[in-house]
Amino acid sequence: MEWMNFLVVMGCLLLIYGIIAVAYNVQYGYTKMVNFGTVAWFAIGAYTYAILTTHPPLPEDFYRFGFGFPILVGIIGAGIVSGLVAYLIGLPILKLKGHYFAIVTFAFAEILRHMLINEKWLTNGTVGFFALRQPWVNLMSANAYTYFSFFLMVVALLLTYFLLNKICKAPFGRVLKGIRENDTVCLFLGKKVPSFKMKAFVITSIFMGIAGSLYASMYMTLVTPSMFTSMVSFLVLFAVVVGGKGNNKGAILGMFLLMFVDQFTRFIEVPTSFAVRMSSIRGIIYGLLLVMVLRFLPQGIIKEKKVIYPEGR
Amino acid sequence: MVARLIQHILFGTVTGSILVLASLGFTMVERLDNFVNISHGQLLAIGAYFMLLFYNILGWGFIISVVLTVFLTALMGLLVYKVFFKPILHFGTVTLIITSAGVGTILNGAIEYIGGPDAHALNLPIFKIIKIGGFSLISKDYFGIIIVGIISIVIIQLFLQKTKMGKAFRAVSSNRSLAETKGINLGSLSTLIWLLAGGTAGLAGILLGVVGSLTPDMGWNQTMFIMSVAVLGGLGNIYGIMIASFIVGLTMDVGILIFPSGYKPALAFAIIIIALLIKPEGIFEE
Repeated sequence: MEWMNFLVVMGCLLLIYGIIAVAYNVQYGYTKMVNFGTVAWFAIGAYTYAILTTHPPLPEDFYRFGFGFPILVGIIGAGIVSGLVAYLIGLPILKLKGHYFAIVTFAFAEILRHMLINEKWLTNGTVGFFALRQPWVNLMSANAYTYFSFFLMVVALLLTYFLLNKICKAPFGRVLKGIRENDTVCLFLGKKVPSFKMKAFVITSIFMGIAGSLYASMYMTLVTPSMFTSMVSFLVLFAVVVGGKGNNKGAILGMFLLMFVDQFTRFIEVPTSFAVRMSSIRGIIYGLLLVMVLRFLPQGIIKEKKVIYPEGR
Repeated sequence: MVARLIQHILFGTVTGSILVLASLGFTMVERLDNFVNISHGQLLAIGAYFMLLFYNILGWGFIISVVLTVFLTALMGLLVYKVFFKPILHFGTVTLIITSAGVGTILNGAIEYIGGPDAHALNLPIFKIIKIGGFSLISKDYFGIIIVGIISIVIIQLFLQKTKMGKAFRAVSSNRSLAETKGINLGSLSTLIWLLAGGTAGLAGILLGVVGSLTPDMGWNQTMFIMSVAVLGGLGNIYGIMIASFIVGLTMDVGILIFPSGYKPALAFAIIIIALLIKPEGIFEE
């Protein structure tokens, strides 16, 4: 049954990434904020969780802060800090145009990664934090725990999906779509565009942070800077663009596709000369898929439904 | 102490010279087709790897390797344009940027597949170090890079001011539709600009091979620095880019006298953020 176990573990990762993808979809699909630094908020969530819940520093550790708080504090804290950082960064950044916003968010994510490596007093450098506590792990066997965490992740993803979907179907979501299509008109209509953008940005960042804390605690049980490269941002972007932007089912579909390609390329029988270079081939496949979808199916696989609103408010 | 500072200033100028070549192509494309081509850094890597192929693996002469590399990288640039970008030019900036991210990933994967995940080095002969008054300043090949940078700037200047195509480019970049009505042939201009972009990137890649080693990820690393230069200089402002390249180069190489050396790339990114906060249009007006 190991392959079943393996599938479940894979599924956990997919669900975590799914949370990020759905949140990212609200940023990009609904509001057209092209954020190339998604991994930054993921990392902030994960590291905040680690710092909040790990034990106080021993003499041989580099870091200075370890609070040993309970797990729930860690998860909530991760969300709050992510949201806070989003707010602080968003203040100067959100008013930038499309390509500048993309560049700056990318730069922010890279600077963050360098800080994670260099600021040892906070993050323990390249060693990172390990042996992070998983919720309720003592209550059951390791095998059962895998399924339990899968179940928890499903709940988390469903919660995220429903919450964000509700926000998007509500008038708030309509304004976001309006901003995407033409923000000048929205301003004209009296909507406070910057405030809406900031709200969307902060709320989605909170979800990304929580996803990061789940990643750190249940899936990996450790955090190191090398886990948070720009490839993560790219994968999320890929999932949302290919799956279908502007609708949350598409984001989840995109994630499935991504994981499928990933696993497929790991396990098919190929001559050994290919196998060694599989990671580069995988990159080529992702890139090609993205480019082709953008060219031929620019809306993604699941298109956004055109909503006809009834007359009146 | 002063000698060390001068050394670092010279290194910064070397980095700046390479960045000028790298960023010129990037910015010309942005001016022409109005999108940020994130895959541009991969063309540098392609240039570097071509040079590896011709000079190291096949053992051909230095000059012939350089010429072939620049030529082939220029063609690659054009190929990338024709295959990936030209068909979707009317899809909008955001789609083009994301496509360029995809193209960058494809090229990166291809480079890693062909070149292997390990680092390589161009085995150039060791050049003598120029000394002044007993202090060793800089080696001759690095100095040569600065010369190449200066010559390139001059050539580009001449191209833009004196040649017909150069003027056409300037016309298109300031007002595309007006230029079209004047009968400027966009097709051949695009071809030329993309060839130039590829060629300058190839040359920059070779120079990168001179100062450092070749890794499959160098493309993404360089893209970051290029973006930093482009934002500082003003996306699309050729002269701003030239100045900004040296500012970024100097900041990085002199900055590590103050900050820990692990932060060197982060300095480039910090420049982006500071520049955009102070003046979102870029420091230099277009």
